[in-house]
Amino acid sequence: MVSIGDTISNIGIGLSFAISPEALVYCFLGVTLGTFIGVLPGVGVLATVSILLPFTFYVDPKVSLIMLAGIYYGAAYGGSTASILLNMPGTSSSAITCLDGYPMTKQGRGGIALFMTAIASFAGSFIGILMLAAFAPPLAGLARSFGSQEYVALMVLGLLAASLLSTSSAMKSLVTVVFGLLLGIVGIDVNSGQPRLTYGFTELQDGIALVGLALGLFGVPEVIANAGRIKGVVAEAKGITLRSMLPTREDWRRSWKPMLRGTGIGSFFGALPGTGGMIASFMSYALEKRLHKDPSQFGKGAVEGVAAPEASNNAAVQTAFIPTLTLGIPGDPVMAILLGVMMIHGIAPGPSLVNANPEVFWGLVVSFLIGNIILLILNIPLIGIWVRLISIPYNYLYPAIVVFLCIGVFSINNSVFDLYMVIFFGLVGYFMVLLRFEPAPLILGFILGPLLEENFRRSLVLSRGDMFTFFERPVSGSIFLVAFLLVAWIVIAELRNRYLARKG
Amino acid sequence: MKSLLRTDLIGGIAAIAVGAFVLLETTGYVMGTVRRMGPGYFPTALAILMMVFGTGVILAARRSGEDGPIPRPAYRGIIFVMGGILAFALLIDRLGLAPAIVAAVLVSSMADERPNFLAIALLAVALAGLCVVLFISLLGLNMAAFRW
Repeated sequence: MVSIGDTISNIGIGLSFAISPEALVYCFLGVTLGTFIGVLPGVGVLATVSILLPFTFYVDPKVSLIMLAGIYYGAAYGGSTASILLNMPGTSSSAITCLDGYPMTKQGRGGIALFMTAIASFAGSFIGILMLAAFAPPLAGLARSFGSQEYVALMVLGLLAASLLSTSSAMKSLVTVVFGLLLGIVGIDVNSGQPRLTYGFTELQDGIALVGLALGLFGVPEVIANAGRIKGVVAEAKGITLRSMLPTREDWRRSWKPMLRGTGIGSFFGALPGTGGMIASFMSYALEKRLHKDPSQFGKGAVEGVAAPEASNNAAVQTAFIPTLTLGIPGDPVMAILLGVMMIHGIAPGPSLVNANPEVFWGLVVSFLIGNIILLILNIPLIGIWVRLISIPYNYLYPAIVVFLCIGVFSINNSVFDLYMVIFFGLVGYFMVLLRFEPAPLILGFILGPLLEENFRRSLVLSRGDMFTFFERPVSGSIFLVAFLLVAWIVIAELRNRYLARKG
Repeated sequence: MKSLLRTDLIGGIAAIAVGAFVLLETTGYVMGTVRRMGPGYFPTALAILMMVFGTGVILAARRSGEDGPIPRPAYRGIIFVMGGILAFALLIDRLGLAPAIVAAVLVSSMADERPNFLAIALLAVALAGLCVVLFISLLGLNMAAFRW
């Protein structure tokens, strides 16, 4: 058992690491870059994190985690800017913010919308960080008693949640997840030494490289999509001054409850392995609309429709670190990549991380607080700079991205084969998008593939081949029950929709 | 007649094909028993699942709300962006980093329908210089700027 005194001294270790000059610089870099790509429509978080991934191998892994995480939550702030001003979401989790944010801009209240989203984002993140600090250590303690059966149960729940609670159709997401699991087990089987699914390529014996896969799936399709794009979207809202941003007392009164409810929903979906900010923002928008006295205001510039989803997606981003850091099970696709970074650097995510590696865990927690304060400054007084950035020339940006992508991939092993992998997965990723398969859950399957197989095998060795072992143990049984309820809920909702459609 | 090139039909077929392709390979692996699984057990199970869900995609197509004709691929973007990466891959070991960067920029910028050649040439040279300084001189990556 870890005493309170130990926890306090661990927090101290994390604090002193997070305020070291190096950590501060990378935290600042991360959140600034995150805001930048969040603001730019069409340049996504997954793509950016994948492109920067190889370069982080040259810095201290703890610092690189701080930076990559900063990109992630920074983008959650910046994503709403383009939604509000241009009706074009900068990130997928800010898509819902368009619905009321853009009408506010048209009514001349764009500044207020930007201000409220910054406040909502900060409130959501701040509470999310507190949840992370409060729940991760006890969960890690609990997880120490987890056997392989519990891990199997958690992974199955995570993968199911990622498929069923996504915006894409359930069947397609299931295909994507299974495809990811298959790609994850390519390489030599640790138990038998047999090379699997390598199709004669010796380069594949160590498995498919995370960087090549991530860049191919997320980087290349975005570059292609941006290459043919009409250049230079001019922001309509040039006149955003600090004065025009100040909300009225009425705005505050209407927003604080939606922010809190949004935070609650976001924290829940963030912490649930497999789901993240996007679904949380949709859910909280739907809830606010249902609770409101006059739902017809939504879609016409209701401030609640901006405050709730933004609080929600930012809270989800922070609590997504709970399962990632304590169980080693990623909360969403970006977390899956961060998890991959940790494993490459030999930091084992899991129950022991919180206490055995306080610099990593508490260092991250403290850096999140610092990063969010920086973001508040970047997004309120300095918003004008970001608004101007929206009209950046894409036609010069994308060849530069291609170059960075190539150098990054090549530098890892000085291997040309890795570049061919990027081309291959680039084509795969592009055609997935064309056929409307969401590629993001694939990366979750990819990271979990080997872990799931190993724990599944171990469970059945321990139980002498008895499949009921997964349902008999109280913890894994309960997790499977939750997974079952989730499936049942989706099926019932689907049947109900069909019934209503037929009737009406 | 409606075109057969619909997203969910082709997507489902692709999924079944991938599953079958994997299955063909994994049937050659030792299967083992539930109690002692061989290397073939898990991938075979996944391949079958993939084919099942692929069939599901086709069957659910009418209701998924996502089904529709496949959009026209951006061939120009695909060819030149992939071409840029390929050019980099072909030149990096033969000529070094700087020529590889120049080639990657030149090829990938052709994805733009109306490229501005002067600006692209300047961008190529500037990026090559910047990357050589940044990655070789400052970060010390193990690559040669020029090699012939």
